[in-house]
Amino acid sequence: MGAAAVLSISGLRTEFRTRRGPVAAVDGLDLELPAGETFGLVGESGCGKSVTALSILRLLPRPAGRVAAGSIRFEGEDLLALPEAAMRRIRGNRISMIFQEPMTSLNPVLPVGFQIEEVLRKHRGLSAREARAEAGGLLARVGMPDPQSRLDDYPHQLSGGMRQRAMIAIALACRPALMIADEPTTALDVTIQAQILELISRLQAEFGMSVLLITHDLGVVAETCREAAVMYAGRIVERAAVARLYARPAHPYTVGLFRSLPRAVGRGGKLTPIPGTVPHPAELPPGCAFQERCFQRHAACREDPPWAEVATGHFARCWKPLG
Amino acid sequence: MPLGYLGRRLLHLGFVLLGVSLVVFLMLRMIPGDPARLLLGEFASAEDLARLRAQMGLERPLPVQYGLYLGRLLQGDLGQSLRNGAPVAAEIAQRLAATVELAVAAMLIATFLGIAAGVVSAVRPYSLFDTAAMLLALVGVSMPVFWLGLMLMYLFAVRVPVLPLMGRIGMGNEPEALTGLMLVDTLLAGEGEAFLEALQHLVLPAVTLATVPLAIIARITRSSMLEVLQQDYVRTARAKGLDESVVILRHALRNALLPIVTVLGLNLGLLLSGAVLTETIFSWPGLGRYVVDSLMARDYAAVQGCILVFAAILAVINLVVDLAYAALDPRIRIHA
Repeated sequence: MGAAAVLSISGLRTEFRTRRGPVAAVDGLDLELPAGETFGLVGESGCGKSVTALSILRLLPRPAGRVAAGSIRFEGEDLLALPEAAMRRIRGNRISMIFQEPMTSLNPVLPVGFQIEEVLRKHRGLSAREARAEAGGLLARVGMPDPQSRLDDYPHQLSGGMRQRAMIAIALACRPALMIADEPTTALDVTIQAQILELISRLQAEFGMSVLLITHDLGVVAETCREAAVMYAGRIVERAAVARLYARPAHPYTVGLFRSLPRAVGRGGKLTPIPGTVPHPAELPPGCAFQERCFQRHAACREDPPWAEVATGHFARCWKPLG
Repeated sequence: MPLGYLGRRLLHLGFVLLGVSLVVFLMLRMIPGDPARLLLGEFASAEDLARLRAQMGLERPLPVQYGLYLGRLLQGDLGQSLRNGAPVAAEIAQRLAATVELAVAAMLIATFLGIAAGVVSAVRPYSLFDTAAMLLALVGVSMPVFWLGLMLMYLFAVRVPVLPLMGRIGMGNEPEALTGLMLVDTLLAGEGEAFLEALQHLVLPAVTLATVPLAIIARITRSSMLEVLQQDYVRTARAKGLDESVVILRHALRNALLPIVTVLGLNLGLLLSGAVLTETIFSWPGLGRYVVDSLMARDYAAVQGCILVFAAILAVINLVVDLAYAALDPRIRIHA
């Protein structure tokens, strides 16, 4: 894995209370995020990628969701063991997060500038005047046109792309070590998507921070990340440098994802959907969670597959890895 | 921009009040029979009837009559009481302060306790506090005001006499009437003891009047807060590392206030009608009791005047509610 890890998750199990009893949306997740680069976390909706992000910041919906086991180490501490007050000093400060829906993620009754200044005053102890100047500077850095006059605007006066820029400005305000971006471009127009991804990449390099980019879109990962992990049914099933992952995917699920991607198949090629649907977390088969949809399943799949290194720096959780 | 909005709303208010005056004017004319006889009773002499008809201008066409009536209204003339011939406007003005004092006290109790209870309930849903508060709120809205007033009176003024039974202040302790508001007048006169006495007199009627709006506000606040707490921007506020109190009060409550303000406005109207009962029970010398007394005495001129004043108060409250909306929600401010 080379570079030092900014954050390392081990054995994470996150449960949700349901009428059928507790159900694990994430189960046995291990993940080391490399420092100072953008790391992609890919998977279909419902695979547990957003739950993983919310578990890191301990922002799971209460009282339904809770972390049942595991540890999340960040800057020498286990986030899961921290008292709430210490956790609040990390949120928005050392680890920040941007969300999928820029339309609803900003508070509609507070000016955009105020929502940025709030973080600066809370974590960096700036005065009102300093915070305002800094907020204007941040809006300029995220490419907001006419940043000073935008400070007094309310979210409904901004376009979707501009709102996401404002969200990024909030996330950047305290120069975090890690920024989690949960589907930051999914709700935006395609042209705006490219701009926002470019912005995130540029800021990542400028600030030297780590970015965890969560997405269902393999194209987004290809454009932005150096390394990525694929998640299925609450666990990481494959991890590799992006170039390697795209050239020689090892896990049958990853292969299936590429086969159902128009850009990867190319003109005239045939799209092949993965048969079946993601199983409900309460109804996972014993052993490999993907076995029922896999084109090469065999007897061994009923046992838990090992996390094995297929090639240098390329790992997969499969009994018969390809590639 | 906001001034233009305010101007338009004030113009609108003018039209509403004009409409109210027309309705009130027509009410007495539309009752079957001769208004003069209605006013003077069946044993009035023919000369008295003729004199009153001429005085009221009843021989003239209806629009002219309305014009004259409106002219008097604009000069603050609400006519003479049929009971004692006193000008109705003066009678109302004298009692309005008592009602305002009572209604404001009740509204303050209902608003602060209601919002506080609703917020705590929403933050800890299905907790013991939530269950108890919402049960009490249900009892509160269901309870007839007059019964509640009598029970409070019996408990706290008769069985355990810690509070005065009725009235605004003890005999002979009345301060010089500057504002008509007993709490303010006693303070202006520098009479601390009289102030405390007035405050004690205010407690039971204000609590009685506050109960129904308090219960409604608590329930609305709870449901509005529960909805807002699910919103993405509340999660964003938490992701920023803000203290939970800031998340709840600054980010959630401000958004939850919009439906609460609507209910507050509606409840102020409710307070006026509640005041009629409460003032009667507690012998509170306000407008509500004046209306009841005037109705009993068939003092139509006085009743008319009161209806006009009540309607004007309600219309002004509506305007204030809409302005509060604009202050709270930037989306309304911009588009208005």
